Amino acid sequence: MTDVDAGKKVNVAWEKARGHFHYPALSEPQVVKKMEGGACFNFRTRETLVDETFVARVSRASGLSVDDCLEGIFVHEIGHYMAFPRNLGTLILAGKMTDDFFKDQGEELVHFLVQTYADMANDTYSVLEEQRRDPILKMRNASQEEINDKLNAKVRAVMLAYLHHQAGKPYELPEELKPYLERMITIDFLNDNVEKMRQGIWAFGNIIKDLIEKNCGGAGKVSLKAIDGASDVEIKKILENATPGEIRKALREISDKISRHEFKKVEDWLGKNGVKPHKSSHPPILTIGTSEGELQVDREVVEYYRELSKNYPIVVSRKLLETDSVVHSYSDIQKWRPGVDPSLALPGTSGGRFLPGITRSVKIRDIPVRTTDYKTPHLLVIRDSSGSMGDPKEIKCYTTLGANCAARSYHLQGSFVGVINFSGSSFYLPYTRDLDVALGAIDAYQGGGTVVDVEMVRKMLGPEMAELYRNHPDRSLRNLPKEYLKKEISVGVPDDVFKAESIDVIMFTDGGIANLNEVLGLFAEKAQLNRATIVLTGGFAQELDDNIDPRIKVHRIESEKDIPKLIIDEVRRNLAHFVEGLRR
Amino acid sequence: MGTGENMEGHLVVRTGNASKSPVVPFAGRFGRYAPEAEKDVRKADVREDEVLKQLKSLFTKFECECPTQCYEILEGPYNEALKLVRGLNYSAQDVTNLSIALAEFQDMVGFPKRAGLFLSALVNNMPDEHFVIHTKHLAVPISDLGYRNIGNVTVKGSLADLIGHMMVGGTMVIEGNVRWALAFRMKGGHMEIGGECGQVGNELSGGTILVKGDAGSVGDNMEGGLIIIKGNAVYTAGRAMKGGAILILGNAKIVGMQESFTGNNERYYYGCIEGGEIHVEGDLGAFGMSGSAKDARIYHKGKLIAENGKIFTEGEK
Repeated sequence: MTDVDAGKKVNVAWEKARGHFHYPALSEPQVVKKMEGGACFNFRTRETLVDETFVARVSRASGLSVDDCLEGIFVHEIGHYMAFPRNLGTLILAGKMTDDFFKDQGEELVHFLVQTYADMANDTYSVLEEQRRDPILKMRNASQEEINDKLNAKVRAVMLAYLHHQAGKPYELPEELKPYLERMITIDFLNDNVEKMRQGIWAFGNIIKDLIEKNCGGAGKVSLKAIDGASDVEIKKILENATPGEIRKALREISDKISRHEFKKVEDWLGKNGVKPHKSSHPPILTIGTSEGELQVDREVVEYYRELSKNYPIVVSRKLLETDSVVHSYSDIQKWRPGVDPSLALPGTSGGRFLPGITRSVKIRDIPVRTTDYKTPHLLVIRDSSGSMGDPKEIKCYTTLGANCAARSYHLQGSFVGVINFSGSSFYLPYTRDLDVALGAIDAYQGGGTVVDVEMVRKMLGPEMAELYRNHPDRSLRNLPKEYLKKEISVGVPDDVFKAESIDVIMFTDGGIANLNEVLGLFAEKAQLNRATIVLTGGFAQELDDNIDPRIKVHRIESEKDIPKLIIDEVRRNLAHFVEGLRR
Repeated sequence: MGTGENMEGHLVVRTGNASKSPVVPFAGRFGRYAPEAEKDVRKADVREDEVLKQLKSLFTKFECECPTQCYEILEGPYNEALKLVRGLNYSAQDVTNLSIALAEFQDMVGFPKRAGLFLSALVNNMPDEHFVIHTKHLAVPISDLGYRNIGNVTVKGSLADLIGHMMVGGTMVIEGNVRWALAFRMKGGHMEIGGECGQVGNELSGGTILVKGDAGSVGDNMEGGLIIIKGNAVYTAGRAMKGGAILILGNAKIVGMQESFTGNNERYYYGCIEGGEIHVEGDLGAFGMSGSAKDARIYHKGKLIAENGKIFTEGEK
């Protein structure tokens, strides 16, 4: 067969395999003369590599045609991209979990388990659908033919029997291996819940470990090959070659799925494997100027929540606001006199005749008219950092996360963000475009009581805001001497921030506020003008139910799953406004 | 061409000038498209482990309402847990699997205590087995594990507070750290931790404890048993000790007493050792002994430095 023919075969099989997955956007596969393992999918470059000799060898040993062999391999490799692990983050998590449980059994077993678990999850996904079922099973049956050693054959026989079981096809498994199959059926390979994956890896690892112990007397005495002899998810190599940016992206991919505690452990695990996660070049402590003076926030916390918030974009609906621009209008009239441009005359005012002094004409005079347009308002975040909220440094705090999401989304639209962080006492951060500083003020944890400084909120929502600066000249604001404070405001903050209607206010709390009625009164008052919204997290929602004014918008977030609902609600509300506008 | 229905309702087609009907050339463009063939999609057959399912269900039913820091009222919730698991058919492997699956319940109110007491009941219900409990993956560390322990447990990971509380027998090996109150009121058995611990062997009356790392306060009010600290005793050792023995292979800050300060910031000591033996192999900070102490000895690097209320200065005994 010529190279051209081989190339055609590869392309046909590739397109067929891609079709089975509804054509994911992946680059053409590369055929290599010889590589370690049979085929692999590179998660960094999203490229599929296939070893020519491996295909020839499997085809020769099993009698499976090269076309079928290629199709099976491609379905498997694309499956890594489509089903499991899907991204580098999940792969890292699977690697860390396996290492947690089976490190004592040796590095080789850990590597084998990560590789094989990924293969099994991926192939289970494929055998459930008719179009992918045959290519995978044919290829798996074929590769079973070329195994020589007893242990590998047994391990792979159990896996093959599992795939046949899920495909609804018969498979003859020796009696002694049937209990292992029964145990494998308890694994939910396709559940993307982190805890289910952990339990799956644990159960899967124990099945393999028991098989090894029964057949070879313990791990470390055997050499296990991955299910297809390939090393397409060889974690160590992938980590070695990954750039800091890719690692950062991978960590973001899993940050919303795991606890903060585990996130730190994953970072440590990466460090032990020679990977240095992307670290900011800035000092570890972020110092921000607030009404309470200089506040120091752990930069790592700010960066964690900023990255995490990228998983949850929030819809910011625009609002009809006055713009800075003006249009000119010619609206005045005057008596027409000879010498005035006759085209401006209005003869209709004098019976169709030009009568100087009686006929009127248009007087060209510019009258600036301020225009309005749909604009994104600025944002005031009121964040509860009382003891009941939990320290965002220690736990994944959904209140902090929600406030970060909101601040980031408004900031992205060019808006200014101001912060009031309340607990027993409140402090505020003036409206700023510096996102790090705003997020720092949000992430700061006080851990005291829960009292909202209603006066401070009121002042931050309108022209009175300037008073906040004037009344507390002793307080250090961004390290500026007090005589420059006013100047700093006028230079750094646009005039419209001081307009009450140009600020949206969102309060993030778990309720349990000591001066609740006072706060609800203020929110009812600001419900229309400032689109006052309360985002309630945790278990205090009931407390508000009896007191709440229907004009106040309240979103309840009990768990992560509720965050998308918040977006859906917002979109629905905005569409309703839009439709109402069209009707008028 | 026209179509219509005859009397019986069958569709009839009149033909004749059909070939003359206008042909839209663009229609031919869609000729190669056909409806997609329907493909069979199966659902994965996942049979949840029945025993694990049952254990998880019992765990969610187990109500453990007692404040985190109270020692005395654990008996009620513990007995409740014992009642739930008694008669249940499970193996040590099932308990290990449960320890992995517990991560699903970390958001529950009082999870640390609830998990600890439930696992303690499972262990004590089958004392002849050897249990392995994984905790590395938990964001919220378990407390109260090994309550009234009589079984053999290995913990792979760290734990929170009150571990091996009132332990009676068996063995507990903890590969990680314990935050606070290891082997409080322990009566027997063997306890070993690979890492560090905040407080070890408070009111210990029997059994042996081996701490491979550092410990905060060691053997406060202990009456019997043996504590070996391979690291340092970073706060006190043998405060108000009445019996038993403590061996510290590293340094010890304050031995045989407790240090405190008055309102005028004047240092004073209290809670001196009244019985038992303390050996310090590393550097020793301060030490003291009650004048009324009987059968009490403190050794530093093999030398007896205090015995029965008498402090030996250099050159003496």
